[in-house]
Amino acid sequence: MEEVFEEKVLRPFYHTSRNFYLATLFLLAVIGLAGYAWLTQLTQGLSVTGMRTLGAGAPWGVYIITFIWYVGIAHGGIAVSAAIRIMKLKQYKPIARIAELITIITLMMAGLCIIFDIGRPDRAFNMLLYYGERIKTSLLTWDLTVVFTYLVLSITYLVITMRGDLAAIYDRVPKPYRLIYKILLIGYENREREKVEQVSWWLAVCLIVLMALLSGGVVAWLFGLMVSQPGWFSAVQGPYFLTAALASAIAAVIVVAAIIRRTLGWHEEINLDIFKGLSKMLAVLILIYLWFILHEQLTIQYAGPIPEREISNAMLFGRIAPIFWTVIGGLIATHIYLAAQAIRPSLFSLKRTVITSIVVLALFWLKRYLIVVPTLLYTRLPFTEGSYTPTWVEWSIVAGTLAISALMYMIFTKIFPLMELEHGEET
Amino acid sequence: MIQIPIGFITIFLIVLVPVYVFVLAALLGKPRMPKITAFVLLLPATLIIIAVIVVWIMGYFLSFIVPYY
Repeated sequence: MEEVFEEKVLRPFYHTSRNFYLATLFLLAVIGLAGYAWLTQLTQGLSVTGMRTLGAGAPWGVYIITFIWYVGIAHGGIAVSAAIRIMKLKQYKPIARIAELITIITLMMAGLCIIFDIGRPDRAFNMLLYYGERIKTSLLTWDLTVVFTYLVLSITYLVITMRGDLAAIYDRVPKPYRLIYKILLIGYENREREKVEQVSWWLAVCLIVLMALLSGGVVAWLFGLMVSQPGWFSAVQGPYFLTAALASAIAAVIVVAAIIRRTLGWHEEINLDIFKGLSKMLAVLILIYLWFILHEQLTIQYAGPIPEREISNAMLFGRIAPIFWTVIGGLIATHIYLAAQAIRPSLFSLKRTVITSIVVLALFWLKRYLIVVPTLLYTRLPFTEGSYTPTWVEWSIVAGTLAISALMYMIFTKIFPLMELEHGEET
Repeated sequence: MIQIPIGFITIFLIVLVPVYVFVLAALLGKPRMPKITAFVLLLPATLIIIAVIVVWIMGYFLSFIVPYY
């Protein structure tokens, strides 16, 4: 049985379909376009984007929106994996590494979005040079510290839990891969499994707590502590962001796991019960998120300060209303579908669940637009109302980050086992 | 007046506490296996050093592309 499973895990190393090459070519073309767009932005300045200073438009645009979106997915991804380890949810084990990899790749893309957003990315090193001075008061430096720690620990978690698998299949992987395996297996001992189990359990606990403090804390504080920005300054931003992070991460895990299940033929390993369980969690989280939106808008409409109400009015009844109501309508519809599926299991369909999850991901991206942009168009100062329309440069770069994510994921499936092998004392 | 370094307290004494707990658990948890513990703790350190070098290299080469103002 184990042999058959190992064969399945090793299969992508030796067999590459025509579609894989076509997809790679397409993704490389998108990345090339993004590279050209970035070069244009670097040489001509941020004026080639739709971002403008306060009064004329929004100084933050799709780069920051996509940054928050990626960070959200990243935080929930490792939370899913860590929860599986801590609570010993064996049923979900096949998707643990899939979720871990989502975290690492999306965190890298989040960092890249920040690099794209700054006008002088060549000065990124200054954040480290002036670190000691800034850590006292700069929210961005807090963010850098914790996102960076989270990324480093996520990679550590992936590597130490993967070493046993790499050692188990070392002799059976294509020869060119063995050098990479050798580097990752430095100091490997057969008996390390026991210690790794113990350490990875603690690391999982650490990552879950860190995730709550990061997604429900530091990233949310980037907005929640800004007293000068109506719509951001709020004590509820922490749990609000955390719920969005977990919901979008679960949606991402559903989509990626379904693609892997189909392309690699892992129908028995990633069974339908896993998707049923994840879609139930997603339904609950969407409902909680809607509840938070109600709280936020009710408070502003009932007794909010004038600048807050201006933004809320623009979202509920004004020029941003189409986006706001698309998000609300979409979240309600997806919740109803997922809840109906949970109550009546005969309604379950993997295809529809995946489509729903893609819609949820798109809606959470739009929700991040509503968090970032409107408040920057309506400032407290007596400026005129601004407007923001992203340009081809911004869309190309954002598409590029999606293409890089997909390509990195595809390359990983070709070099490393994407599922934990059942070996050692468990078999 | 002494300025309270709120960021330092928030990040290093509150938010990163689970990280210290993990390091202690790795060091003191049984089985000890110092070699594996050292690997687990040196791996993040190596990753941080690599990342810092990458950021420096990226900044250095980008400075040739971005016009000087």
